Amino acid sequence: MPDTPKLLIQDVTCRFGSTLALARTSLQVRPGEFIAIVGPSGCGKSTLMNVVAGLQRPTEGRVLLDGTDVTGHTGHVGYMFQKDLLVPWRTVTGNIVLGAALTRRATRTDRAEARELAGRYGLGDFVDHFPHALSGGMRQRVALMRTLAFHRDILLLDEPFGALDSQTRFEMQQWLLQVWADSERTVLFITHDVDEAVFLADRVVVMSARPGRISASHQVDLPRPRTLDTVTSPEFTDLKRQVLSALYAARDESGQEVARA
Amino acid sequence: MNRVPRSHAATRMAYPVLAVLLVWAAWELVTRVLKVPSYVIPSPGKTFEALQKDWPNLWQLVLKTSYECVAGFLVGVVVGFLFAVLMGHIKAIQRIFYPILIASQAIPIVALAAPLVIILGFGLTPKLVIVALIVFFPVVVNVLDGLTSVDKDMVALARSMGGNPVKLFLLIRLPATLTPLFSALKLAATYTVTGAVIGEWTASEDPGIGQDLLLKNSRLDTAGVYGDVLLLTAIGLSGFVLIALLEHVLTPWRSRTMARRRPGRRVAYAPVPVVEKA
Repeated sequence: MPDTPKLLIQDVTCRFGSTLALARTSLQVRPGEFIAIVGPSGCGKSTLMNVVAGLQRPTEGRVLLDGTDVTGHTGHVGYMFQKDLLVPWRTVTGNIVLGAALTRRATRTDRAEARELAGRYGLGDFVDHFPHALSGGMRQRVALMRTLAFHRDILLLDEPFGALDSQTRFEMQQWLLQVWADSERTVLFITHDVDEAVFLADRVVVMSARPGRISASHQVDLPRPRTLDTVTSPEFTDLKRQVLSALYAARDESGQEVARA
Repeated sequence: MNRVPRSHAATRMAYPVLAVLLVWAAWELVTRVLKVPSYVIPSPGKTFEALQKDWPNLWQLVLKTSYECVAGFLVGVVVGFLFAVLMGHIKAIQRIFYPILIASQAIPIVALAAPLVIILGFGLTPKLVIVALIVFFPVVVNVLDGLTSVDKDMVALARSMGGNPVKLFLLIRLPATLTPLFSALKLAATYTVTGAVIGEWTASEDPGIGQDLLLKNSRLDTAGVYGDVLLLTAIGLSGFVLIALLEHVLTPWRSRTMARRRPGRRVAYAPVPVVEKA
């Protein structure tokens, strides 16, 4: 298991015209690992995600999934954005099975699974609701269920809770950890929020801007399951300080402002 | 649970009825109290009398005019929709044809009617073309708007899931056009009557209500003219109501909290064995 990385980002470079959006970047991700990526706006986090998702073909480098080259190919990972992007004309169930509907056809089994998923995570009474009838937190939850129901080993979560209020956010973080523990997926989680990164991840990767690159990586060995107590523990504070100083060091190098953290 | 309570539904139904009564009352008031002579403004009673007397002749004309409206409407909607999809997908076509489209709308349709008759003759065709031309524009503009206003990130998400362009169109882009399309159709449904009447006024060997109105006007049969106006209004209004009903059925997410379950699926989701490994 430690020999083959689940995901291998190998010397990926992204250039848009004359701008270098992403300098040579490499990252190895173990199966089942939860990685948080923090960094200021414009550090190429989202570009990196788009490359992994296959939406963006890198100028150089490769993306290997279980040793297979998937560079520039879509459909291999579950991708979730900051906006929930629920399709307004599909019900909760319809949104959860979107991946199946787009790639083949959503079967009765897909729908049953979607309803089961919604039921298990507290949206059982809303399976036939249209998204406009749900709260922000519920919508984001449906978006994550849609990503889960797409059945890919890797989840790319691009600031999924960025638009939520802090209380809902904390609930969602705990819920995500529960889901992650249930499903044994590998997660790449982008955030601006250092607290969130340290709370969730096995490893926090710090990126810096101009050009975007990985500037530091911190192992987070806090015990799981993580609770409210985790956030107030000295280890947590210590790690947070390390990540913050890495972020600020990155800022000083590139002369760029670090986003709210 | 999400149904509108019966009393509310009744109240909502009452408003349009009230509106009709209000117009009726104003009409009665003008003719009775102000004593306007009936050859200037006929009373509602006189108008309905005229309608009733001429009904054996009128109903065929109503069918004729309705047919022109419906056929022209369908042609305009189908052509407009296809055109919008084409423009939405091929930028060059959009850049070339959009200015032409706008310019074409600056030509008064009445002015266009005469040359159309010269080209297409006195039959049904010029009327269909006139109606279709009126319907075409709002459909193109609104559908194109729907196609281009689809969230880019939603398209990116669908692409990341490996959806091909056809699936993307059917599941994401096409449904996004429905809301603006229906706004256009509701407008268009009422415009069609104007188109049909203009068509009939310009050229008719086979009369409809528009032609009949012209005839009655020349005979100073004011009650008859008012009757015809009522019939034309009824045609336009029926079109509008039909489209609104269709909209309600086809875009349930706009008016309802929940999708209606098909019968027999009521408890289908209750206890399903855990599919995913825990």
